[in-house]
Amino acid sequence: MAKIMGFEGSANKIGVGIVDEEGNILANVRHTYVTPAGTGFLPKDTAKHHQQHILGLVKDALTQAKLTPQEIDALAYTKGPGMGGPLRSVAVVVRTLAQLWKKPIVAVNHCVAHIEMGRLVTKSQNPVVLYVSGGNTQVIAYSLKRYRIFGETIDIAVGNLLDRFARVISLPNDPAPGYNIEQIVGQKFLELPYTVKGMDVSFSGILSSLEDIARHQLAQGKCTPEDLCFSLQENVFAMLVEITERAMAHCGQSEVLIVGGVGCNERLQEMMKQMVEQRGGRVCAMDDRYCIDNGAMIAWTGMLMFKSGITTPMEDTWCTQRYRTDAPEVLWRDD
Amino acid sequence: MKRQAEAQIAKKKPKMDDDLEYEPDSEDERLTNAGVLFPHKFNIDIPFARSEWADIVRTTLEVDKELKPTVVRRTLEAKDGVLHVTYEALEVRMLRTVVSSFFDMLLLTIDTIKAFGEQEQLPA
Repeated sequence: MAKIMGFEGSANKIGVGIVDEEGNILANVRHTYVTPAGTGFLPKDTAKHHQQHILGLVKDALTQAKLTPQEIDALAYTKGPGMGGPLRSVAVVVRTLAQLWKKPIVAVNHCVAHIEMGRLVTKSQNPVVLYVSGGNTQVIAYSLKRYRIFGETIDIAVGNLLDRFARVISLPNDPAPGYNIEQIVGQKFLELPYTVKGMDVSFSGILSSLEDIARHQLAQGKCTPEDLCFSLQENVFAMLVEITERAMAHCGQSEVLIVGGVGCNERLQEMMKQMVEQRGGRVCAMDDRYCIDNGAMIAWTGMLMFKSGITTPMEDTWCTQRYRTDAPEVLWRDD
Repeated sequence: MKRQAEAQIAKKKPKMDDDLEYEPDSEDERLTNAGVLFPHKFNIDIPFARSEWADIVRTTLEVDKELKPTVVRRTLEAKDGVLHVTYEALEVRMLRTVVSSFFDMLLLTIDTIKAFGEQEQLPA
């Protein structure tokens, strides 16, 4: 039975996972780089964090899976998209281990990995995918050997909006700013820009509005941080639900899969479920073990690619900060 | 200016592990004849306990190309267990940045070899 070790470190989480070819997740260890409240993580510091933790995580993963390096068949890593320094740090370790252990390397697209992990864990066949995280916001459906992007953000990702809003009101970044926003929602809804643009969305104007409201109304006590969190969630999640519904209607699908870190949010899942059930469909969602960036999703996608005969020559194991979801050819799906 | 650059870089070099020795090249004609476009240069020879490790490190680090090839030039060669590294840059600041980044990746590669290069990992 083939086993693959996957490495993920494109943002502030460094993870190592091991899966077998039946989809059993033998190990999935992870460490998050947490910065002080009011600050975001920068590429250089994040890369340093990953460099400090990655070898310990490799050992932990092997221990958890009860395997030796020789029992691993291939190493999968995130080729992109993501932050440059963190991506390169992970790739350097993977290249070194591949030579020491004499194993092939599989380069994986981060977005495709989220989708494939979602399909594995929720057993969904051909869903419309809403991929929402700190770095990406896309509505995706599979067609003709590609994961096609039907709609996406035209500026910042929804998770980026949530994280930067958390900085404005100095919410802690532990365990995640998006999680902390979810915990303190209030009751009063404040009007915010609703910027759906056909199948696409825009969030930068919403962030500016929130910064303005925080500067004025919050200072005057006309609203509370809880009200802002509530209004933000209701507004942007409704936008995401709308573009997802439009994609469902366009593609004739009945399943929706939510992946990415923001996919953990239970309010988003609830709103999506209301929409999908009205259309007679099903929502597939996961908890933080698999929604949030992890090594197992890279390992599993690497497994699908490896079994389709895809490996990456050493000279091609570079990283790229931009790697579109529709760039890789999906050779492992027959439909 | 060149001496100032090299002195500046020398102070920033991270401390090497026991099995490595820092052994800078002395200047020679090749250095004094450096091209006009790339006036600032840095080089270092890094010996490894095993010849194969020098090859592994070179292969690992060779893959990531310099982000700005028009202003920074890098060569990596592994020969007889020694890794020969040369950087050339237009500006001292740029040279410092890329050399510092190179050392971060070099140390990560060396740490990986130390952790996994000697023996089979056994299950707990």
